[in-house]
Amino acid sequence: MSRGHESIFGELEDIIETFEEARATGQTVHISDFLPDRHDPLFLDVLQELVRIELEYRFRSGTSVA
Amino acid sequence: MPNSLIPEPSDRSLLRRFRAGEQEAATRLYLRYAQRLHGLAIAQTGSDLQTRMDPDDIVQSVFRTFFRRAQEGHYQVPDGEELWKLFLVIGLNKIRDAAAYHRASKRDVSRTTSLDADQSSIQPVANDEVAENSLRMVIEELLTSLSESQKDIVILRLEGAQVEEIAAQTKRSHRTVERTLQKFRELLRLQIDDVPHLSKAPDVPKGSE
Repeated sequence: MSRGHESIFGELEDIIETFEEARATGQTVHISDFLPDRHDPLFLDVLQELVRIELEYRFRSGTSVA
Repeated sequence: MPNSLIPEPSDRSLLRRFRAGEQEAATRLYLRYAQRLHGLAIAQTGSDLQTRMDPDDIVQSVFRTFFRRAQEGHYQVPDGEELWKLFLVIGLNKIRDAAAYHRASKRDVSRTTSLDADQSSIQPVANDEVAENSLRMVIEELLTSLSESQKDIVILRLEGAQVEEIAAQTKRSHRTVERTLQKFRELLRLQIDDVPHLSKAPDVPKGSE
């Protein structure tokens, strides 16, 4: 995933915002498409946050998490 | 080409160059705003305080704070915007703090001046309106550096909306709403670190997070 301009909240928030925006516009999203490189220091933080957000959406919509 | 035809660099560009280590950029920013700050310091203090508070000290203190925090990466200048609002906020608060300090020491060392006379020496900075206005300006300044959705989240919260409502309106997860508000609060706290009296002003209200 390419890295654009970093906002004042930092790169982690930029990635999450891209993910949220894609979800908000009804696109089918796959967490893996939004993750930085596995060796990136942000990898685990991004993964953890996106999983939490995805779980929240699925829980609220009654969608299976499997 | 005559120098007068060369456009002046923007504040945004000077800030970027200062962060890159160009001392010339710091000098230009100083020259651009020092006189206005000096005028502000004079205008905001009454005659008796002017004998105790040197406007140059206020100006120096504002720039010291600004350059230190800019170096730490705290300030952003959107395209076409000026740094003046930020200098104004820092300046007003430096003046207010200095005035409070002098007023306190004056009460200690001399009781010959009446309380009324003492209070009149600090013109508009002696009431909460200035603190509120300063806080509003800091918040507005911060909002300009957020993305549209982050801005919407913060504004809705400031208007009293609950996390549930904000999430629905902005089409963001509750988690993102809560995280955004938390980050904004942290950022706001950092921005007002230099202005202790503002830390008592209302923060972005905490929701059910």
